[in-house]
Amino acid sequence: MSKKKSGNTKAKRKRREPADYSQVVKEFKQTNNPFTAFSIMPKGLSVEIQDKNEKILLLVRRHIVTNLKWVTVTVLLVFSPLLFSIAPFYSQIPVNFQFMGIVLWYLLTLALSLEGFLNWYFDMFIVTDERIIDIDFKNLIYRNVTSTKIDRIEDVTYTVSGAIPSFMDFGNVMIQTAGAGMGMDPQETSPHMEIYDTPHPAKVAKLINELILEEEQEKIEGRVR
Amino acid sequence: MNSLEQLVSVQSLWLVIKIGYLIAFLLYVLFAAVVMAQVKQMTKTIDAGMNGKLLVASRFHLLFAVGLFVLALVVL
Repeated sequence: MSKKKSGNTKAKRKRREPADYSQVVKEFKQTNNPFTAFSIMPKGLSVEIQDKNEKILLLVRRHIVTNLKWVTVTVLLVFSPLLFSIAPFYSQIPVNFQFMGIVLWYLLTLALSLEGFLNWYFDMFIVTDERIIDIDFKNLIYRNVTSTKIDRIEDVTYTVSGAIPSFMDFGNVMIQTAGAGMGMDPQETSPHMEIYDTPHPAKVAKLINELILEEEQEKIEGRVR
Repeated sequence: MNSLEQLVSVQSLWLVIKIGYLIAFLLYVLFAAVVMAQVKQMTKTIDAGMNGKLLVASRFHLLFAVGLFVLALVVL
């Protein structure tokens, strides 16, 4: 009898599946697309600092629309060499210099588009059932990886500002955390994470809130991993 | 200025431009190396399902940049 009871308690204390406590996880379907900006329970995704039993619930990148700037510049740069022949001095340049000049031009275009793509692809925000991880990939020589446990999150707010963000449903999510500053900046007095231009900011905030509640519930019920 | 001096000055002008071109191609090779190093680091940090392809692409990109630098040396 007592054995059965202890077995039941163990079963009750088992960690719940994300779909059991999260409306957001239930609402969205899993996707295999590696270039998605918003992916619930992404398949095949793993992070270096992830624990063995830790589940990744959400992957967020900046909204795809934010790539429009570098894509437009790239398209303009691709077609610009057509205008070179109009330049009066162009015919006086030796053919080999003309050819290598165009090659160089396209290399610079490739560099610009490559940096734009990598900045978008690697700059991501990840929510697991234990922590949130912010990977900042500002440019090719700067990256910053910050993570915070869910139980250290104090406040989550989101902002959608402007016509295009409102129409396309993207905005910023600000996550206020407890304790000392997390970043490398000694001037930072208010520890926080900010995710910019994330798709469905309300859903991101809701998922984090659901995780905070679940974390509190786990503590009350004494559930452990 | 006689025609020989003119020829020499034009030649030296193109030599300077050639060096400029080569420096630009060399800088691109450095850029490609930085891209490869960053992709390698990032794929260690996170596996988003494209790691293998991105690593191959970044290595190919570096080889491509080196190839173009050699081409510039030959053509110019």
